[in-house]
Amino acid sequence: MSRRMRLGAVSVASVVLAVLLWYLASDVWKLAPSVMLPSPVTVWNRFIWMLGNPYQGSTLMAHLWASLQVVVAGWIIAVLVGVPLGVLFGWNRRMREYLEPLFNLIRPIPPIAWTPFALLWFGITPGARIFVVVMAAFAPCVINAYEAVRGVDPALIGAARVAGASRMTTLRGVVVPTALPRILIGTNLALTGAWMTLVAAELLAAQAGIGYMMQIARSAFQADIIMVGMILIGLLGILMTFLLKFAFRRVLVWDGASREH
Amino acid sequence: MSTDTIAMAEVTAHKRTVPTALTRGAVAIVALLAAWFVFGDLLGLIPARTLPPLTEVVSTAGRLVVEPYAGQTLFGHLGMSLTRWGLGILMAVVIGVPLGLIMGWFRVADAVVSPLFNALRSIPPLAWIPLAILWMGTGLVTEVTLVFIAAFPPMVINAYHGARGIDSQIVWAARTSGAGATRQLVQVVVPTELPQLISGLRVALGNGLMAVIAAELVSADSGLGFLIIRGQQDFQPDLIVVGMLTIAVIGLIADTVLILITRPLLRWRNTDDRH
Repeated sequence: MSRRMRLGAVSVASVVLAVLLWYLASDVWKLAPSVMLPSPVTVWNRFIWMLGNPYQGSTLMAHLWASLQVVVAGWIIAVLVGVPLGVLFGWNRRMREYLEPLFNLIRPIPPIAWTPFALLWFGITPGARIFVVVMAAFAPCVINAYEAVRGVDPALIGAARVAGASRMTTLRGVVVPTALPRILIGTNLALTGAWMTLVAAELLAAQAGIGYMMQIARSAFQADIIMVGMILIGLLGILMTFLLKFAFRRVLVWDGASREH
Repeated sequence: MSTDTIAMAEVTAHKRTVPTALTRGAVAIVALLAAWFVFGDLLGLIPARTLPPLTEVVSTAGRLVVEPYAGQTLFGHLGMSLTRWGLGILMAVVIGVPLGLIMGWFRVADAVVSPLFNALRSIPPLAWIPLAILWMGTGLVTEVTLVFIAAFPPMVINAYHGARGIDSQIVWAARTSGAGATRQLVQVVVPTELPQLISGLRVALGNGLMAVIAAELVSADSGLGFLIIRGQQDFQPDLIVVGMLTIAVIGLIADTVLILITRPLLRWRNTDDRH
């Protein structure tokens, strides 16, 4: 057996052992009451139960669907506004010098801190959550588009200009296509941040959604439901990142450089 | 990372334009404040529920410094948030850095810990809030734990990559010169990976601030996150603005202080790069 395979076996054993310990601690040794520490079996059974039975007005799929709609809507708005703004920052120095200090003033505020204003302005509506998601996804879109444009080799821009391309044509034909891989990475990071922020916002301002479901379960001492929520949030986060990467690879099929990486 | 790279690139690339850049930034900020004052305070075109007048925000900030609101003055809330933030970060550094070093140094430790670490890390830190409250109730322990959960992964990952990236020849050189295991660690490994640890700490600080504010929004009886959610419940948008600006300021200060403190520590490395 090669060293690599042995290490792989150690990794598998480690995960199996961790789940086994969880099972022993909860179901066999009963280290904590099952409302606090449900066993993996209980969590799985709860997951199956929630697929068919509504909890707080919605089945599990309906809660997920409520969350996904909000995160996708907010993310699309953030991409449509943030990416062009970042490109503009990178391309036009004057614009950057005027707006960057304002942007940097707001940026250290964690996006979740916009929730009180979202509630004040929109009440407990999907609009409030979409607003918080936009605030979370906006900065990564702007920063990565900005750095992508700044990272374009000036020689490429010079060549296009010397060949007679206008500034606008250079931007559209040279700068944006060259910067695109990095811009897309930024939108993917934005989605990850937005997903986490949404779940937290749903703890405060929702009547459906996976975070809302967990918040109710917390006050009802149903740790199994909270764990179903946590696992699903993790899996969906991975799935969304993966789907975007897959979609972007098709967009960037012409781009040899990004495939080498 | 990005703010500074933006600022640094600006300084090196266009030294002469720095004064114009500063002026333009100041012009934009003053223009925004002026617009707020004219449309909000003078013309009353912005509903106070949407955005309170500028003068009201300023007077609220002044009042909050001396008069307690929701149990604490502004500095009281600030102190609570800073305590939770600082303790959580400290825990993440003290536990995360050694763990990352060990994972980077010993392949077996990597194989044992990495899959568990990555599985747990896929759950976003803020998704731990309900479970943390269910297990530990509300209080200092819960909030510090949540900060720890948010700040721990970047510390581990950066210590790990730092240790993996160390040139083994340097370590061999130390070993052949007679350095023991501890000396190798303290005098070779840690200084070499310091830049990586510092960038990990910057991410950890940002994540930790997010976690402390989120935890205080959901359940706490003090802190800046609690202040702004109380402001919303009492329909006092001026309190929300003051709280959010305070959060922005402590985020900015922490980041700036970290850069200033660590710059001398990294100087030897910068000169090294020139060779």
